[in-house]
Amino acid sequence: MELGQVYAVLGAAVAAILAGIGSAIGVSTAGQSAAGVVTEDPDKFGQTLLLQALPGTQGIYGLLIAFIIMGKINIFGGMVPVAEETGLMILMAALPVAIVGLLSAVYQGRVAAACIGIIAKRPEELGKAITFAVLVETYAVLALLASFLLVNGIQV
Amino acid sequence: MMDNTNYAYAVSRIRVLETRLLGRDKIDRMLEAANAQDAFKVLAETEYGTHMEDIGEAYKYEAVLSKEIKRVYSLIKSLMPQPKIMDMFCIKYDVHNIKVLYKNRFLNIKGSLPLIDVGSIPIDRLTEIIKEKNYKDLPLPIAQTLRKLDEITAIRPDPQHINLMLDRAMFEAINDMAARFRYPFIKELAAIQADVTNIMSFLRIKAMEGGSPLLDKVLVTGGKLEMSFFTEMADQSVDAFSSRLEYSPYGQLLKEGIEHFTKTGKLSRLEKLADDYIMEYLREHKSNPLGPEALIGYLLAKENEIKIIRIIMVGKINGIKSQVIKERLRDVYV
Repeated sequence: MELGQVYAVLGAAVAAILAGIGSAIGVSTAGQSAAGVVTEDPDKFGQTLLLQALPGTQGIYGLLIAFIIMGKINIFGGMVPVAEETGLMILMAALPVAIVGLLSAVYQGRVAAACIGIIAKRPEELGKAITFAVLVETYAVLALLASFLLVNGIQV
Repeated sequence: MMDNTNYAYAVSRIRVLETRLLGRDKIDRMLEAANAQDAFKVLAETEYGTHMEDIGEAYKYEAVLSKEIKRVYSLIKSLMPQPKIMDMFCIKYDVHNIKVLYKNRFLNIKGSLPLIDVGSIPIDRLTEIIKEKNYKDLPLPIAQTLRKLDEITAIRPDPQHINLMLDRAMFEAINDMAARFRYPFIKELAAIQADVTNIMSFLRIKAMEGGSPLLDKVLVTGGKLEMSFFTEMADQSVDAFSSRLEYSPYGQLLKEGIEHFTKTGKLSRLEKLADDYIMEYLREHKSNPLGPEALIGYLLAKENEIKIIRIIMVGKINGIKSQVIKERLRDVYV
Protein backbone atom coordinates (compact mmCIF):
# COMPACT_ATOMS: atom_id res chain seq x y z
CA MET A 1 0.00 0.00 0.00
CA GLU A 2 1.39 3.37 -1.02
CA LEU A 3 0.64 6.69 0.68
CA GLY A 4 -0.65 8.00 -2.67
CA GLN A 5 -3.34 5.35 -2.70
CA VAL A 6 -4.33 6.27 0.86
CA TYR A 7 -4.78 9.91 -0.17
CA ALA A 8 -6.87 8.92 -3.15
CA VAL A 9 -9.13 6.69 -1.05
CA LEU A 10 -9.43 9.48 1.50
CA GLY A 11 -10.54 11.80 -1.32
CA ALA A 12 -13.30 9.40 -2.34
CA ALA A 13 -14.36 8.94 1.28
CA VAL A 14 -14.45 12.67 2.06
CA ALA A 15 -16.63 13.38 -0.98
CA ALA A 16 -19.16 10.72 0.04
CA ILE A 17 -19.05 11.50 3.77
CA LEU A 18 -19.36 15.28 3.83
CA ALA A 19 -21.86 15.63 1.01
CA GLY A 20 -23.84 12.76 2.55
CA ILE A 21 -23.94 14.41 5.97
CA GLY A 22 -25.12 17.64 4.41
CA SER A 23 -27.92 15.90 2.57
CA ALA A 24 -28.99 14.00 5.65
CA ILE A 25 -29.27 17.23 7.64
CA GLY A 26 -31.00 19.09 4.83
CA VAL A 27 -33.52 16.35 4.14
CA SER A 28 -34.29 16.00 7.83
CA THR A 29 -34.92 19.72 8.32
CA ALA A 30 -37.22 19.80 5.31
CA GLY A 31 -38.80 16.53 6.44
CA GLN A 32 -39.73 17.89 9.84
CA SER A 33 -41.24 20.86 8.16
CA ALA A 34 -43.20 18.64 5.79
CA ALA A 35 -44.43 16.55 8.71
CA GLY A 36 -45.83 19.71 10.31
CA VAL A 37 -47.89 20.53 7.25
CA VAL A 38 -49.08 16.96 6.73
CA THR A 39 -50.18 16.74 10.39
CA GLU A 40 -52.79 19.41 9.71
CA ASP A 41 -53.37 18.76 6.02
CA PRO A 42 -52.56 15.21 4.82
CA ASP A 43 -53.48 16.03 1.20
CA LYS A 44 -50.24 17.98 0.84
CA PHE A 45 -48.02 14.90 1.15
CA GLY A 46 -46.97 14.80 -2.51
CA GLN A 47 -46.05 18.45 -2.85
CA THR A 48 -44.10 18.59 0.40
CA LEU A 49 -42.29 15.35 -0.41
CA LEU A 50 -40.97 16.89 -3.60
CA LEU A 51 -39.46 19.76 -1.63
CA GLN A 52 -38.12 17.46 1.03
CA ALA A 53 -36.19 15.46 -1.56
CA LEU A 54 -34.33 18.45 -3.03
CA PRO A 55 -31.48 18.65 -0.48
CA GLY A 56 -30.84 14.95 -1.12
CA THR A 57 -28.99 15.51 -4.39
CA GLN A 58 -25.72 16.68 -2.80
CA GLY A 59 -25.22 13.23 -1.30
CA ILE A 60 -25.61 11.74 -4.77
CA TYR A 61 -23.06 14.21 -6.23
CA GLY A 62 -20.59 13.25 -3.51
CA LEU A 63 -21.10 9.60 -4.24
CA LEU A 64 -20.66 10.23 -7.97
CA ILE A 65 -17.24 11.83 -7.44
CA ALA A 66 -16.33 9.02 -5.03
CA PHE A 67 -17.16 6.49 -7.78
CA ILE A 68 -15.11 8.34 -10.39
CA ILE A 69 -12.12 8.38 -8.03
CA MET A 70 -12.62 4.66 -7.32
CA GLY A 71 -12.64 3.99 -11.06
CA LYS A 72 -9.55 6.09 -11.57
CA ILE A 73 -7.48 4.15 -9.04
CA ASN A 74 -9.13 0.91 -10.18
CA ILE A 75 -10.10 -0.03 -6.66
CA PHE A 76 -12.18 -3.02 -7.77
CA GLY A 77 -9.41 -4.49 -9.89
CA GLY A 78 -6.45 -4.49 -7.52
CA MET A 79 -5.69 -0.77 -7.48
CA VAL A 80 -3.11 0.93 -9.65
CA PRO A 81 -0.01 2.50 -8.07
CA VAL A 82 -0.57 6.18 -7.21
CA ALA A 83 2.26 8.63 -6.65
CA GLU A 84 2.11 10.56 -3.42
CA GLU A 85 1.48 13.97 -5.06
CA THR A 86 -1.08 12.46 -7.44
CA GLY A 87 -2.96 11.02 -4.47
CA LEU A 88 -2.92 14.40 -2.76
CA MET A 89 -4.21 16.03 -5.93
CA ILE A 90 -7.12 13.59 -6.04
CA LEU A 91 -7.90 14.40 -2.41
CA MET A 92 -7.89 18.13 -3.21
CA ALA A 93 -10.04 17.57 -6.27
CA ALA A 94 -12.69 15.93 -4.10
CA LEU A 95 -12.92 18.95 -1.75
CA PRO A 96 -15.26 21.18 -3.79
CA VAL A 97 -18.07 18.65 -3.91
CA ALA A 98 -17.41 17.58 -0.31
CA ILE A 99 -17.44 21.03 1.33
CA VAL A 100 -19.89 22.83 -0.93
CA GLY A 101 -22.08 19.74 -0.88
CA LEU A 102 -22.16 19.73 2.92
CA LEU A 103 -23.00 23.40 3.33
CA SER A 104 -25.33 23.81 0.37
CA ALA A 105 -27.42 20.81 1.45
CA VAL A 106 -27.82 22.19 4.99
CA TYR A 107 -28.91 25.58 3.67
CA GLN A 108 -31.04 24.12 0.93
CA GLY A 109 -32.83 22.20 3.67
CA ARG A 110 -33.65 25.50 5.35
CA VAL A 111 -34.95 27.03 2.15
CA ALA A 112 -37.00 23.90 1.50
CA ALA A 113 -38.46 24.15 5.03
CA ALA A 114 -39.45 27.75 4.37
CA CYS A 115 -40.89 26.82 0.97
CA ILE A 116 -42.96 24.09 2.59
CA GLY A 117 -44.53 27.04 4.44
CA ILE A 118 -45.60 28.35 1.03
CA ILE A 119 -47.23 25.01 0.25
CA ALA A 120 -49.07 25.15 3.59
CA LYS A 121 -50.81 28.33 2.50
CA ARG A 122 -50.78 28.34 -1.28
CA PRO A 123 -50.39 24.85 -2.72
CA GLU A 124 -50.93 26.28 -6.22
CA GLU A 125 -47.56 28.06 -5.93
CA LEU A 126 -45.53 24.85 -5.86
CA GLY A 127 -43.53 25.95 -8.91
CA LYS A 128 -42.30 29.11 -7.21
CA ALA A 129 -41.49 27.23 -4.02
CA ILE A 130 -39.38 24.72 -5.93
CA THR A 131 -37.59 27.49 -7.82
CA PHE A 132 -36.36 29.07 -4.57
CA ALA A 133 -35.05 25.78 -3.27
CA VAL A 134 -33.49 24.78 -6.59
CA LEU A 135 -31.46 27.98 -6.81
CA VAL A 136 -29.32 26.75 -3.91
CA GLU A 137 -28.69 23.62 -5.96
CA THR A 138 -26.79 25.68 -8.54
CA TYR A 139 -23.74 25.91 -6.31
CA ALA A 140 -23.74 22.23 -5.50
CA VAL A 141 -23.80 21.56 -9.26
CA LEU A 142 -20.94 24.01 -9.85
CA ALA A 143 -18.89 22.31 -7.14
CA LEU A 144 -19.69 18.94 -8.69
CA LEU A 145 -18.48 20.24 -12.04
CA ALA A 146 -15.27 21.55 -10.50
CA SER A 147 -14.56 18.27 -8.74
CA PHE A 148 -15.46 16.29 -11.87
CA LEU A 149 -13.13 18.26 -14.14
CA LEU A 150 -10.33 18.20 -11.57
CA VAL A 151 -10.51 14.46 -10.96
CA ASN A 152 -10.76 13.79 -14.68
CA GLY A 153 -7.75 15.98 -15.43
CA ILE A 154 -5.43 14.15 -13.06
CA GLN A 155 -3.31 11.53 -14.79
CA VAL A 156 -2.68 8.44 -12.68
CA MET B 1 -28.86 31.66 18.08
CA MET B 2 -31.25 28.95 19.12
CA ASP B 3 -31.28 25.30 18.25
CA ASN B 4 -33.34 25.88 15.18
CA THR B 5 -33.98 22.49 13.66
CA ASN B 6 -36.67 21.68 16.23
CA TYR B 7 -38.71 24.56 14.96
CA ALA B 8 -39.17 23.21 11.43
CA TYR B 9 -42.08 20.94 12.38
CA ALA B 10 -43.80 23.42 14.67
CA VAL B 11 -43.57 26.35 12.28
CA SER B 12 -44.99 24.53 9.30
CA ARG B 13 -47.88 23.21 11.39
CA ILE B 14 -48.56 26.80 12.34
CA ARG B 15 -48.43 27.79 8.67
CA VAL B 16 -51.42 25.56 8.03
CA LEU B 17 -53.22 26.81 11.14
CA GLU B 18 -52.67 30.41 10.07
CA THR B 19 -54.88 29.72 7.07
CA ARG B 20 -57.71 28.88 9.48
CA LEU B 21 -57.56 32.20 11.31
CA LEU B 22 -60.59 34.38 10.72
CA GLY B 23 -60.06 36.46 7.60
CA ARG B 24 -61.56 39.82 6.69
CA ASP B 25 -64.48 38.18 4.89
CA LYS B 26 -65.63 36.15 7.91
CA ILE B 27 -65.34 39.18 10.15
CA ASP B 28 -67.30 41.31 7.68
CA ARG B 29 -70.00 38.66 7.57
CA MET B 30 -70.20 38.66 11.36
CA LEU B 31 -70.43 42.43 11.31
CA GLU B 32 -73.15 42.47 8.66
CA ALA B 33 -75.18 39.79 10.45
CA ALA B 34 -78.72 40.92 11.31
CA ASN B 35 -78.40 39.99 14.99
CA ALA B 36 -76.14 38.32 17.53
CA GLN B 37 -77.48 34.85 16.81
CA ASP B 38 -76.64 35.17 13.09
CA ALA B 39 -73.14 36.44 13.90
CA PHE B 40 -72.72 33.46 16.19
CA LYS B 41 -73.72 31.16 13.33
CA VAL B 42 -70.92 32.56 11.16
CA LEU B 43 -68.53 31.70 13.98
CA ALA B 44 -69.83 28.14 13.99
CA GLU B 45 -68.42 27.64 10.47
CA THR B 46 -64.88 28.31 11.71
CA GLU B 47 -62.44 26.60 14.10
CA TYR B 48 -64.63 27.82 16.93
CA GLY B 49 -67.39 25.51 15.74
CA THR B 50 -65.86 22.55 17.58
CA HIS B 51 -66.57 24.23 20.92
CA MET B 52 -70.12 25.12 20.00
CA GLU B 53 -71.77 21.72 19.90
CA ASP B 54 -73.51 22.17 23.23
CA ILE B 55 -73.50 25.96 23.24
CA GLY B 56 -76.30 27.28 21.05
CA GLU B 57 -77.10 30.68 22.47
CA ALA B 58 -75.16 33.68 21.25
CA TYR B 59 -74.90 35.28 24.69
CA LYS B 60 -72.79 32.33 25.83
CA TYR B 61 -70.02 33.33 23.41
CA GLU B 62 -67.56 33.84 26.29
CA ALA B 63 -67.61 30.11 27.05
CA VAL B 64 -66.63 29.41 23.42
CA LEU B 65 -63.84 31.97 23.49
CA SER B 66 -62.39 30.66 26.75
CA LYS B 67 -62.39 27.10 25.41
CA GLU B 68 -60.59 28.30 22.29
CA ILE B 69 -57.91 30.23 24.17
CA LYS B 70 -57.28 27.17 26.33
CA ARG B 71 -57.00 24.97 23.26
CA VAL B 72 -54.60 27.34 21.51
CA TYR B 73 -52.34 27.75 24.53
CA SER B 74 -52.06 24.05 25.15
CA LEU B 75 -51.37 23.47 21.44
CA ILE B 76 -48.58 26.04 21.28
CA LYS B 77 -47.17 24.82 24.59
CA SER B 78 -46.92 21.32 23.16
CA LEU B 79 -45.37 22.57 19.90
CA MET B 80 -42.86 25.07 21.28
CA PRO B 81 -39.38 23.47 21.29
CA GLN B 82 -38.40 25.79 24.14
CA PRO B 83 -41.43 25.65 26.44
CA LYS B 84 -39.90 28.27 28.74
CA ILE B 85 -40.66 30.92 26.12
CA MET B 86 -44.34 30.30 26.76
CA ASP B 87 -44.03 31.51 30.35
CA MET B 88 -43.60 35.00 28.97
CA PHE B 89 -47.05 34.84 27.46
CA CYS B 90 -48.78 32.72 30.09
CA ILE B 91 -47.76 35.08 32.83
CA LYS B 92 -50.53 37.57 32.13
CA TYR B 93 -53.05 34.85 32.98
CA ASP B 94 -51.07 33.87 36.07
CA VAL B 95 -51.06 37.47 37.20
CA HIS B 96 -54.77 37.79 36.48
CA ASN B 97 -55.42 34.70 38.59
CA ILE B 98 -53.11 35.92 41.35
CA LYS B 99 -54.94 39.24 41.47
CA VAL B 100 -58.32 37.53 41.77
CA LEU B 101 -57.17 34.99 44.35
CA TYR B 102 -55.26 37.53 46.35
CA LYS B 103 -58.17 39.91 46.54
CA ASN B 104 -60.47 37.04 47.47
CA ARG B 105 -58.16 35.93 50.22
CA PHE B 106 -57.21 39.22 51.80
CA LEU B 107 -60.02 41.56 50.94
CA ASN B 108 -62.92 39.13 51.05
CA ILE B 109 -64.24 40.32 47.73
CA LYS B 110 -67.10 38.14 46.57
CA GLY B 111 -68.33 37.68 43.03
CA SER B 112 -65.04 38.66 41.49
CA LEU B 113 -63.77 37.92 37.99
CA PRO B 114 -63.49 34.29 36.90
CA LEU B 115 -60.11 32.55 36.98
CA ILE B 116 -58.56 31.68 33.62
CA ASP B 117 -56.89 28.29 33.46
CA VAL B 118 -54.29 29.16 30.81
CA GLY B 119 -51.39 30.26 32.99
CA SER B 120 -48.13 28.43 33.55
CA ILE B 121 -49.18 27.55 37.11
CA PRO B 122 -52.30 25.40 37.54
CA ILE B 123 -55.10 27.14 39.43
CA ASP B 124 -55.14 24.59 42.28
CA ARG B 125 -51.46 25.13 42.89
CA LEU B 126 -51.85 28.89 42.67
CA THR B 127 -54.74 28.85 45.16
CA GLU B 128 -52.52 26.95 47.57
CA ILE B 129 -49.62 29.35 47.08
CA ILE B 130 -51.76 32.39 47.84
CA LYS B 131 -53.53 30.69 50.74
CA GLU B 132 -50.31 29.62 52.43
CA LYS B 133 -48.43 32.80 51.52
CA ASN B 134 -45.71 30.56 50.21
CA TYR B 135 -44.54 32.54 47.18
CA LYS B 136 -41.16 30.96 46.47
CA ASP B 137 -42.31 29.08 43.35
CA LEU B 138 -43.53 32.26 41.67
CA PRO B 139 -41.28 34.38 39.46
CA LEU B 140 -39.07 36.47 41.71
CA PRO B 141 -40.48 39.97 41.03
CA ILE B 142 -44.01 38.69 41.64
CA ALA B 143 -43.03 36.87 44.84
CA GLN B 144 -41.32 39.99 46.15
CA THR B 145 -44.30 42.16 45.29
CA LEU B 146 -46.69 39.80 47.03
CA ARG B 147 -44.56 39.84 50.18
CA LYS B 148 -44.57 43.64 50.07
CA LEU B 149 -48.33 43.62 49.51
CA ASP B 150 -48.82 41.33 52.50
CA GLU B 151 -47.32 44.02 54.70
CA ILE B 152 -49.27 46.87 53.11
CA THR B 153 -52.66 45.18 52.90
CA ALA B 154 -52.45 44.18 56.54
CA ILE B 155 -52.62 47.88 57.37
CA ARG B 156 -54.64 49.35 54.52
CA PRO B 157 -56.05 47.13 51.78
CA ASP B 158 -56.44 48.79 48.39
CA PRO B 159 -57.52 46.75 45.34
CA GLN B 160 -56.25 49.32 42.84
CA HIS B 161 -52.86 49.30 44.49
CA ILE B 162 -52.74 45.51 44.27
CA ASN B 163 -53.50 45.66 40.55
CA LEU B 164 -50.89 48.29 39.80
CA MET B 165 -48.12 46.65 41.77
CA LEU B 166 -48.75 43.24 40.29
CA ASP B 167 -48.84 44.64 36.75
CA ARG B 168 -45.50 46.20 37.36
CA ALA B 169 -44.08 42.98 38.77
CA MET B 170 -45.41 41.15 35.72
CA PHE B 171 -43.43 43.36 33.35
CA GLU B 172 -40.32 42.93 35.47
CA ALA B 173 -40.77 39.18 35.30
CA ILE B 174 -41.27 39.37 31.52
CA ASN B 175 -38.07 41.41 31.17
CA ASP B 176 -36.15 38.84 33.20
CA MET B 177 -37.42 36.04 30.99
CA ALA B 178 -36.78 37.96 27.75
CA ALA B 179 -33.22 38.71 28.86
CA ARG B 180 -32.60 35.04 29.54
CA PHE B 181 -33.35 34.05 25.95
CA ARG B 182 -30.95 36.50 24.30
CA TYR B 183 -33.11 36.41 21.21
CA PRO B 184 -33.61 39.84 19.62
CA PHE B 185 -37.15 39.15 18.41
CA ILE B 186 -38.36 38.29 21.91
CA LYS B 187 -36.55 41.16 23.60
CA GLU B 188 -37.92 43.61 21.08
CA LEU B 189 -41.44 42.28 21.52
CA ALA B 190 -41.21 42.63 25.29
CA ALA B 191 -39.91 46.19 24.89
CA ILE B 192 -42.70 47.14 22.48
CA GLN B 193 -45.32 45.76 24.85
CA ALA B 194 -43.85 47.74 27.75
CA ASP B 195 -43.70 50.93 25.65
CA VAL B 196 -47.26 50.56 24.45
CA THR B 197 -48.45 49.90 28.01
CA ASN B 198 -46.65 53.01 29.25
CA ILE B 199 -47.95 55.19 26.44
CA MET B 200 -51.51 54.05 27.13
CA SER B 201 -51.16 54.54 30.89
CA PHE B 202 -49.64 57.96 30.36
CA LEU B 203 -52.54 59.11 28.19
CA ARG B 204 -55.16 57.56 30.46
CA ILE B 205 -53.70 59.47 33.37
CA LYS B 206 -53.62 62.62 31.25
CA ALA B 207 -57.31 62.13 30.51
CA MET B 208 -58.01 61.82 34.23
CA GLU B 209 -58.34 65.00 36.30
CA GLY B 210 -55.48 65.23 38.79
CA GLY B 211 -54.12 61.82 37.96
CA SER B 212 -50.47 62.78 37.65
CA PRO B 213 -49.38 61.52 41.10
CA LEU B 214 -50.43 58.08 39.91
CA LEU B 215 -47.95 58.12 37.02
CA ASP B 216 -45.01 56.90 39.07
CA LYS B 217 -47.03 53.92 40.19
CA VAL B 218 -48.21 52.75 36.79
CA LEU B 219 -45.10 53.02 34.63
CA VAL B 220 -43.51 49.69 33.88
CA THR B 221 -39.89 48.86 33.11
CA GLY B 222 -38.36 47.27 30.05
CA GLY B 223 -39.48 49.66 27.31
CA LYS B 224 -37.26 51.49 24.87
CA LEU B 225 -38.71 54.78 26.10
CA GLU B 226 -37.17 55.59 29.46
CA MET B 227 -39.47 55.95 32.47
CA SER B 228 -37.90 59.34 33.08
CA PHE B 229 -39.17 60.48 29.68
CA PHE B 230 -42.74 59.94 30.82
CA THR B 231 -42.26 61.66 34.18
CA GLU B 232 -40.65 64.59 32.36
CA MET B 233 -43.63 64.88 30.06
CA ALA B 234 -46.13 64.64 32.90
CA ASP B 235 -46.77 68.38 33.05
CA GLN B 236 -46.86 68.93 29.31
CA SER B 237 -49.72 68.75 26.84
CA VAL B 238 -50.74 65.63 24.99
CA ASP B 239 -49.72 67.26 21.71
CA ALA B 240 -46.26 68.02 23.04
CA PHE B 241 -45.97 64.37 24.08
CA SER B 242 -47.02 63.25 20.63
CA SER B 243 -44.58 65.55 18.86
CA ARG B 244 -41.69 64.45 21.07
CA LEU B 245 -42.33 60.91 19.85
CA GLU B 246 -42.94 61.93 16.25
CA TYR B 247 -39.79 60.28 14.95
CA SER B 248 -39.95 57.26 17.23
CA PRO B 249 -41.43 54.01 15.91
CA TYR B 250 -44.67 55.02 17.64
CA GLY B 251 -44.95 58.38 15.87
CA GLN B 252 -47.57 57.35 13.34
CA LEU B 253 -49.89 55.56 15.73
CA LEU B 254 -49.71 58.38 18.26
CA LYS B 255 -50.46 61.04 15.67
CA GLU B 256 -53.61 59.31 14.46
CA GLY B 257 -54.68 58.09 17.90
CA ILE B 258 -54.19 61.42 19.63
CA GLU B 259 -56.04 63.29 16.89
CA HIS B 260 -59.04 61.07 17.61
CA PHE B 261 -58.50 61.47 21.35
CA THR B 262 -58.53 65.27 21.28
CA LYS B 263 -61.62 65.23 19.05
CA THR B 264 -63.67 62.73 21.04
CA GLY B 265 -61.90 62.36 24.40
CA LYS B 266 -61.78 58.60 23.84
CA LEU B 267 -58.69 56.41 23.77
CA SER B 268 -60.36 53.53 21.97
CA ARG B 269 -58.82 54.46 18.61
CA LEU B 270 -55.33 54.55 20.11
CA GLU B 271 -55.90 51.21 21.82
CA LYS B 272 -56.81 49.71 18.46
CA LEU B 273 -53.80 51.29 16.75
CA ALA B 274 -51.47 50.04 19.48
CA ASP B 275 -52.75 46.49 19.03
CA ASP B 276 -52.36 46.85 15.28
CA TYR B 277 -48.80 48.02 15.77
CA ILE B 278 -47.89 44.88 17.71
CA MET B 279 -49.63 42.71 15.10
CA GLU B 280 -47.63 44.45 12.37
CA TYR B 281 -44.39 43.73 14.24
CA LEU B 282 -45.34 40.05 14.50
CA ARG B 283 -46.35 39.91 10.84
CA GLU B 284 -42.99 41.33 9.77
CA HIS B 285 -41.11 38.59 11.62
CA LYS B 286 -43.26 35.54 11.11
CA SER B 287 -41.52 34.37 7.94
CA ASN B 288 -38.57 32.75 9.76
CA PRO B 289 -39.06 29.00 9.15
CA LEU B 290 -36.76 27.93 12.00
CA GLY B 291 -37.56 30.19 14.94
CA PRO B 292 -40.25 30.89 17.53
CA GLU B 293 -41.58 33.95 15.66
CA ALA B 294 -44.39 32.19 13.82
CA LEU B 295 -45.56 30.38 16.95
CA ILE B 296 -45.65 33.52 19.05
CA GLY B 297 -47.22 35.42 16.18
CA TYR B 298 -49.98 32.84 15.88
CA LEU B 299 -50.57 32.82 19.62
CA LEU B 300 -50.96 36.57 19.83
CA ALA B 301 -52.94 36.64 16.59
CA LYS B 302 -55.40 34.25 18.19
CA GLU B 303 -55.71 36.50 21.23
CA ASN B 304 -56.25 39.41 18.87
CA GLU B 305 -58.88 37.45 16.96
CA ILE B 306 -60.68 36.61 20.20
CA LYS B 307 -60.67 40.29 21.06
CA ILE B 308 -62.23 41.04 17.66
CA ILE B 309 -64.93 38.43 18.17
CA ARG B 310 -65.67 39.73 21.65
CA ILE B 311 -66.08 43.28 20.36
CA ILE B 312 -68.43 42.10 17.62
CA MET B 313 -70.49 39.88 19.92
CA VAL B 314 -70.83 42.51 22.64
CA GLY B 315 -71.82 45.03 19.99
CA LYS B 316 -74.33 42.72 18.35
CA ILE B 317 -75.92 41.65 21.63
CA ASN B 318 -76.35 45.28 22.60
CA GLY B 319 -77.68 46.22 19.18
CA ILE B 320 -74.88 48.62 18.29
CA LYS B 321 -74.60 49.68 14.62
CA SER B 322 -72.02 47.73 12.65
CA GLN B 323 -70.28 50.92 11.55
CA VAL B 324 -69.59 51.82 15.19
CA ILE B 325 -68.36 48.31 15.98
CA LYS B 326 -66.12 48.38 12.92
CA GLU B 327 -64.21 51.43 14.12
CA ARG B 328 -62.98 49.50 17.12
CA LEU B 329 -61.94 46.36 15.30
CA ARG B 330 -58.27 45.46 15.16
CA ASP B 331 -56.47 44.45 11.98
CA VAL B 332 -56.32 40.74 11.32
CA TYR B 333 -53.00 38.88 11.21
CA VAL B 334 -53.34 37.09 7.90
